[in-house]
Amino acid sequence: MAPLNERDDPFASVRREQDAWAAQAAPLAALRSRLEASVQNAPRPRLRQRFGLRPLLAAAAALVVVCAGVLWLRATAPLSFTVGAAHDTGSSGVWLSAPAGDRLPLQFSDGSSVVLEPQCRARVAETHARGAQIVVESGRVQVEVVPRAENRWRLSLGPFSVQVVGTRFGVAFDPVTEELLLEVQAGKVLASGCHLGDGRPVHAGERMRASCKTRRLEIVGGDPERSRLEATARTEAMPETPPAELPAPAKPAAAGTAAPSSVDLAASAGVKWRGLIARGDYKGAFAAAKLAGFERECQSASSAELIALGDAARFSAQTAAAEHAYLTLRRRFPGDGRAALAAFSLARIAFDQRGAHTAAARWFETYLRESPGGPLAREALGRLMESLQRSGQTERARAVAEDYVGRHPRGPHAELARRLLGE
Amino acid sequence: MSDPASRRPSVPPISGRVAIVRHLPILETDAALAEALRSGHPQAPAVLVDRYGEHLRCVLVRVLGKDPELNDLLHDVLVTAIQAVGRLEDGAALRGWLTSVAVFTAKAAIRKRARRRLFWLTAPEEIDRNEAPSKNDDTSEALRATYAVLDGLPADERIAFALRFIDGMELVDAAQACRVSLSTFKRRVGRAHKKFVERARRVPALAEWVEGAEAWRR
Repeated sequence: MAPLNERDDPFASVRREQDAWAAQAAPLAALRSRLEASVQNAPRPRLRQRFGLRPLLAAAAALVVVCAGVLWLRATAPLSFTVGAAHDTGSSGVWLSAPAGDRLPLQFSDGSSVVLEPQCRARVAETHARGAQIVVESGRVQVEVVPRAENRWRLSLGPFSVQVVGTRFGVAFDPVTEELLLEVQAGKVLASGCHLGDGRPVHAGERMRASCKTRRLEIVGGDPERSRLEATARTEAMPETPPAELPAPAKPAAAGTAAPSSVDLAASAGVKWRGLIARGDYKGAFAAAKLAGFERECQSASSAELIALGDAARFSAQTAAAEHAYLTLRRRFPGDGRAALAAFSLARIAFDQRGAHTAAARWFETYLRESPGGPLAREALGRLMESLQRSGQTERARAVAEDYVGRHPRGPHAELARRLLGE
Repeated sequence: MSDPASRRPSVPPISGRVAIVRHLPILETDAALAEALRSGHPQAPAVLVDRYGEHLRCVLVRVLGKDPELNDLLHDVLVTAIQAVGRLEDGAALRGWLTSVAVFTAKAAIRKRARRRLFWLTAPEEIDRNEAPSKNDDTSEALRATYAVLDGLPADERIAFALRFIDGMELVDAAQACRVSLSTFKRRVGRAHKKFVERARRVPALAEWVEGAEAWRR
C-alpha cells in the first residue's frame, strides 16, 4: 500500500471539515462535565443474581430462536441426494452415467427419486428447497417426484424441458436426432422448448414423442377426447409427416467376447461408423472411425457427419477427439449452420469435462452470436450465465441474468438468474 | 493542544513551614492515569477527557462521518473505558486501548443501524444526516459522497478504510485498534480500498478526485 503524504492525500480536506464540525458538535468542555456527572451518579457494580429471572428468560428466548431457526433452515435448505445403491452423497454439477447393463438410482431427501437407465448420462445441475434441476444429456431416466406444494422440479433434455409438480414418468432423449420420448405414468408434466413453445401438458397414460430436428410431435394414449382435441390442434400447427423412430439403444457386448462391430469395421470402417452412429452405438462408431483414421474421416466428412462424429467421440468420453471434430467442422464449414452447433458442443465440453468456465462462456457466446434464434439459444444463454458466474465474472453474469429473465421468465435457468439478481 | 492536566497547581506557602508541592502522578503518565481510573480517583475522568477526548472524537468521526449521535457515542466510549479499565493489563498502552474502545463503539453503532435498516428504510438516527451543503460545497459533497460509498462496505472494511486512508493511521496502530493481526488488517484494508475505488469511480463527486490522487496508486 502506498504511504500517504500531505501532498496527494485526497482526504485532507475531508479531515479538516470533519474536525471543524466535530469540535462544534461534541465540545470537550461539555463532555467533561457530563462525564463527571455520569461517573458520580453511576451505581456501584452489583453482584450478579445467580438465580434471577433474566438468565431464564434469555435461555427461553434463545431456545425459541434456535427452534425457529432449525424449522426455517429445514424449510429453506436445498434438497440433498444420494447416488447408487451404496447411497454415496451426490454433488450438484457432477456428470453421472449409468453403466451399460445397470441402472443408477438417485434418491432425494424429500423422497423423490430419479433412476438413470443403462447408458444414460445426466447431472443434477442444482437442488433447492422445493426440487432440483436435472440435465439429461442422453438416454432414459425414470422419475418419481413426491407431490408437495410449490414443488419445482425441472428436467432439461437438449432443447426440451420437462416441468414437474408431483408425478411418475419416464423420459428419454437422443442428442443426435434431438428426439424426446416422454411417457407419463401418473400425474401431469409440462413439456416445453423447441417447437413445443412455452409448454404442452402431458397427462397420465400419454406418450409424447417430439423431434426438434424434424419438428414432429406425436401424443398417443390417455383420455381419447383430450387426444382427439389435441390432435386437431396439432394438425393445424404441424406438418403431416410420420414420426421417426427413436434409435434403438446399443446392446451391451457380452462379457468375455470382443465387440462384434470391431472385427467387421476393419474392412469398411469408414462407412461403418456412420451406420453405427445411426443405430446409437457411439462407442462402436468412434472405434470404427479411429480404425478408418479419425483425422482422415474428419477431413472427408460432411458438416452433419462431423457433428455426429464429435458427438460419438464425446459420448465415448474421448474429449480431445470430440473437440477436434467440432473444431474441424468450424474450420471447414465456417458459414454452415452446424458451425454454431459445434460451438455449443465445444462450450459444453469446456464446461462439463474440462471445468474451463471462461472458455465455455466464450463458446456459448459464439453460439448465441452465430445462431441467436437457434433451438439451443435459451440453453446457451442460461449456461453462459452459469459459466460467467463460475468464472467469477459476476457483473457480466448479472447482465446475462437480466437478459435471461426478460426472455425466458420460466426457463430452466430462471431461478439461478433471479438469485444472481438478488430477487 | 494545551494540556490543563500538565499545569502544576500553585500552593500558597504556609507560614513558618516549607511548602511541599506534590504532583499528582495521574498528570504525568498513561500508566498512572489508568491506575487512577481504576481506583476511582475523582480527577481521573476529567484528565481522561483532556488528554484523549479529542483523539477519540477524531476516531469516531473518521469512522462514522458527520454523525448526529457523535456526542453521545463519545460519552459512551469514555464511560465504557472507565468501567472496563480494570481489564487493561498494561496501563502504558492506554492510548491504543482507548482507540480500540472507540473503534468497537463505532462498529456497534454501524451494526445496530444496519439491523434497524432491516425494519425501517432509514435508521432513525440517520434521518437528519443528509444535511444541507456548507459554504465549501466541493468538500462537503466529497465528504457526503465518501461516506455514502463507505455506507455500502461491510463494517470491518469500512473501519479499516477510515482509519488507514481518511485518518492516515499507521498500519500497526490501526490493526491494534481493530484488535486483529497486521496481516488480517492489510487484507481488510486491501479489500476496502479496491471496493471503494471501484464504487467511487461511479460517483461524480469522487471520480476525478480519487483518480487524481497519488495515494490511490498501489
